[in-house]
Amino acid sequence: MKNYLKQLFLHKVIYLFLFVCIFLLFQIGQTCLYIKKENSYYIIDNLYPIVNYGIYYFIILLLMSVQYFYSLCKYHMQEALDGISYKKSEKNQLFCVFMIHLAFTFFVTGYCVFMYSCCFKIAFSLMVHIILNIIINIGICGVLAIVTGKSLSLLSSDFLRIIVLAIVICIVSPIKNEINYWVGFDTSMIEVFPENSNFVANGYLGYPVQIQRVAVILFWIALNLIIIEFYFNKNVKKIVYSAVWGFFAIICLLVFLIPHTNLTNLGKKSSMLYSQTHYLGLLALEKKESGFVTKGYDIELTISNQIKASVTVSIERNREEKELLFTLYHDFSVTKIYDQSGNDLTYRRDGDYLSIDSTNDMKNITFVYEGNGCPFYAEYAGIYLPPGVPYYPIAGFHKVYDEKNRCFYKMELPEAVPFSIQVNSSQKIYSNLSMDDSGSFKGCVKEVMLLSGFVNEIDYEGCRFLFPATYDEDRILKDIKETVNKFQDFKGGLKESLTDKIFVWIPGINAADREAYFDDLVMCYMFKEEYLVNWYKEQYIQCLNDLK
Amino acid sequence: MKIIMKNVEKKFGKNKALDNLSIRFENGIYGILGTNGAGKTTLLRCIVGIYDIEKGAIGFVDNQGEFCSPGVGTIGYLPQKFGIFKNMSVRDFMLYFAGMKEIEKEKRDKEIESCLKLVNLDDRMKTKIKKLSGGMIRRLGIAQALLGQPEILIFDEPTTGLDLEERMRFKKIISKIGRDRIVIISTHIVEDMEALCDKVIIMKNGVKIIEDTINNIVNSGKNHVYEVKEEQLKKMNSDYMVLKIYNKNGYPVNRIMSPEKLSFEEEPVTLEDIYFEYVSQKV
Repeated sequence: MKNYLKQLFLHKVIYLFLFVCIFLLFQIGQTCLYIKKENSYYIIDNLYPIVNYGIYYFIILLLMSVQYFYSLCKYHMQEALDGISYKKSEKNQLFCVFMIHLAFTFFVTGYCVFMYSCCFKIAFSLMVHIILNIIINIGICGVLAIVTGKSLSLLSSDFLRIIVLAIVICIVSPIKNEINYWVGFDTSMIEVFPENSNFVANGYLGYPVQIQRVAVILFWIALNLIIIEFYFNKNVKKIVYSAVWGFFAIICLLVFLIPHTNLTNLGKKSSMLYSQTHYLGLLALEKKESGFVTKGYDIELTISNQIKASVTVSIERNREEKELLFTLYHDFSVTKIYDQSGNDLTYRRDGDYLSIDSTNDMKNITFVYEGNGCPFYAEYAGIYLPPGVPYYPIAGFHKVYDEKNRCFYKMELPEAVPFSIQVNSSQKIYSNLSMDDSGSFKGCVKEVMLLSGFVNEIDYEGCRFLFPATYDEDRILKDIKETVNKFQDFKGGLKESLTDKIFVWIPGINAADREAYFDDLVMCYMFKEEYLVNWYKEQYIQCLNDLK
Repeated sequence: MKIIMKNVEKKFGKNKALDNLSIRFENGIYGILGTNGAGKTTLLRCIVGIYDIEKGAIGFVDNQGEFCSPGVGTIGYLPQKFGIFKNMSVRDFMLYFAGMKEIEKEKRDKEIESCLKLVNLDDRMKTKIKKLSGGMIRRLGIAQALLGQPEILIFDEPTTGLDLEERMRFKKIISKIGRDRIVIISTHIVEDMEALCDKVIIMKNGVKIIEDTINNIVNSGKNHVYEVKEEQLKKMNSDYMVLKIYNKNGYPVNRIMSPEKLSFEEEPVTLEDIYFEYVSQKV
């Protein structure tokens, strides 16, 4: 092993590799200390060097691998070296590069754990999240670089090898997105790095492990291993080994082909969100009242890589109408609608609007639908279904999207109704509803919020605060105390209006997410006075009016 | 040490590179003769362990008569295509291979010096490889194979690219060191064989045609060899095969082989003649 390491140091590119490793470690350390020094909220930004500079590590490791493996072929030293160690094949060289990479991955993992632990109070689940990101973005991507380098060393023509190398580097780097902006291909099969997968981290999700992306990376590793086994392995069993890798590649491809995460649609590159493009040029719809009153909801949500919903709406007719009108976000695909007797109902769908042919005896209407097109997200990585967004059918036709302000309208029921929500998910869910012994969320409200992921919860002076666990808890607690105490100073009994309120820190994943105020919920950016000014102004004015 | 090959078969796709080959190597110098594609390099690579074989067995027997696996440095191997990183110096290169062969650190310098002296490169220790000629690089390859006093030396076309003087030098080296170890040399230069080898193996299409001492091989020839002038050749009606054409006393002369006894003066049969006789026959 020592000798193969010496062999590696004959190539100047290893010094570039060491430079990139040191640069990466420096960036990680610097980011931690900067965040600490600047007293920033966003401790999850510590992952930024790994996620974004991991590309440079990949590229240099790829260059090093290509040069190392190719030079042995080009200079015909390989055969003489093979002759020295009887029956040991070129796997020694591959093993050497792999061990260097593994050593660095372990080191950077330990270094990150040390730096983050020293600088921040960090939950175990978050530490696991950070380590997983290192394993994927440095560890597994690095393996891809090594095996790709080995495969590329097969190309004997210098020109061809350089061209293919340049193409590979373009594909993994952000350059691809710039090119594809004009070309417009579906590049999901080559989305190796998060920068390219168009995903923006947010506090509740961090940089979630996207199973499809991991499957893509493993797929390309398997393909390269097929090439390596077939062309480099002189063993008679190479066909068998190649077949094994081929089978593994197929499995990865199948995993990739299952419906995609919605998270990539929340990209930062697009100035217009995917969810918003639907509304471009649509004629403004007039609000239409339904001919019934909603009496309650019984909702069952199954969260996997998408939402599968079964929602039973209890209604009371207040006038004769041929159609019952509902608003349901357009990206949900409705599979079935039936009444309390199980009779299928005829319906029409036009974007966000559902019209159901009415009969007199309808009391409960059950909607079965699925999708991951909700303008926010609900899947393995986390759930953010904010209040006032029609991810469950809401009576009547309502404008969903405010084109002028480029955000979603706040949509709440005219009166509080009983909700019963069963969420089938392994995640811990937070809601403005209370959870009963059966694990269902129950309550009488005008709107429902569901949230999960890296969530931290603080109860202070009868108020409940939900915020990302990837943010500095001490800092936020300080803000909360200042803000609540200030409210308590307000004359006119403002304190009472705080009690039983849930304040939720908005993830801020896209421009469509605005501050919103409900009877029991305050959705806001930060728990500081200046960010709650609109809310407490409303409350203050309400108090003054009440006093009058 | 001995190398025993029994019924060895090696295929590349449908092509049989080695077909039912059985050879026994003991201490001494063995030459493997054959045309291009005869399977010489494949045979050597199978012995060295670079290729796995489909059928048969290759066994190594130590001095106690026990089967063993050759450890690091037991085999000194110079492949047909041999190159080196250009930016290394001769000494660094030898140090690198000495390290790969796990030669003890204290003995490395002495070992390197002795091997380079054998190939007459001891005055080039600090020279960069890129400044060496092709022949010098070849000699350096021989030197690395000799490092560590391996019990088995395998050279694949070792004299390719060497001039006459260097070929003579190579033969001297092998003669000096080849007696108490197994030396296997593959070549298509018959002349080198005659001067060097105790036993010769002639191969064609992956098959061993003959394995014997040079004398026995020469005596095994069934044909007669003659030198015939060009104009005489045109008048001949007998079966013959032209072995080579050269100038003699200013005239072009054909060295021919014929199964018939002709009226010309018979020439002594050489190994080269027998080699041509064997490889031209269908196996």
